[in-house]
Amino acid sequence: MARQGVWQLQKLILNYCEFSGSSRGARVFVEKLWPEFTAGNPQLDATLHVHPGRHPNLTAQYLNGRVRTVGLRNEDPDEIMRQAILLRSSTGRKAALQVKTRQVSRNPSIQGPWTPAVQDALKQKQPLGA
Amino acid sequence: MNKDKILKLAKGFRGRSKNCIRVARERVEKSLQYAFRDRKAKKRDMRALWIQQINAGARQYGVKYSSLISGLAAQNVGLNRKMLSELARTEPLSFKALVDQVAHMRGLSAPHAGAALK
Repeated sequence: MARQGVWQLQKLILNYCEFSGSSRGARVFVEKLWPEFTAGNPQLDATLHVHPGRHPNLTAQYLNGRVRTVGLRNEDPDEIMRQAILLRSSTGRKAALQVKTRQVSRNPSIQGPWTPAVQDALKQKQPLGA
Repeated sequence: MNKDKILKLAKGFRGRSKNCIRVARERVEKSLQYAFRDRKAKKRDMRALWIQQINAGARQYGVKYSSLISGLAAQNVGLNRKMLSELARTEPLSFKALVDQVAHMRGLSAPHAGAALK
């Protein structure tokens, strides 16, 4: 993601192993989809790093100094692509918007809040069915 | 390091519990236990409150809470207790309409509704 014309993701490192099973998807990704991803993102410093014996991951470094790591153990190449795009589309900020479900209103009542006077008036009314 | 955190959590406590670390530590521990327990209890308490409010609102028209809830369910009205209590409090006309609908369905009209309660 770019803010005011400045890309937030500066560096993306794909760590993977050349032999282990958990890196299988990552190896296919490196072979098939990585060139496409790098070509489409010239602004990004995208590097490959072989890390033998370890599970694969994507390490993203952002402009604000935050480092995000996404584990790719046993993931499909499509999923890895999705994660790479997700990292590129993010800023380094933490979740800025907390979900708050409490609703506060200046006009909580439309018909007018209940009072004993309102109740007396309502009691006089006949029910709709009757 | 931890002392300051504890004393910060102990703000508003009574007596030495808010100032003296040895006392505050115990009271803060207890307060956190209560907070854990009551986060779960709050949900129960709120529901009980809503039920009381709906009951009171419905009995104004001579319909009991149980009748109202089962009647609304029978007519496929999906309003939950939270919303019903909101209506009873802030939209008395709408609430009356719901109660009347249930009373009509049950064959209780306003003059006889008082007798149903007795």
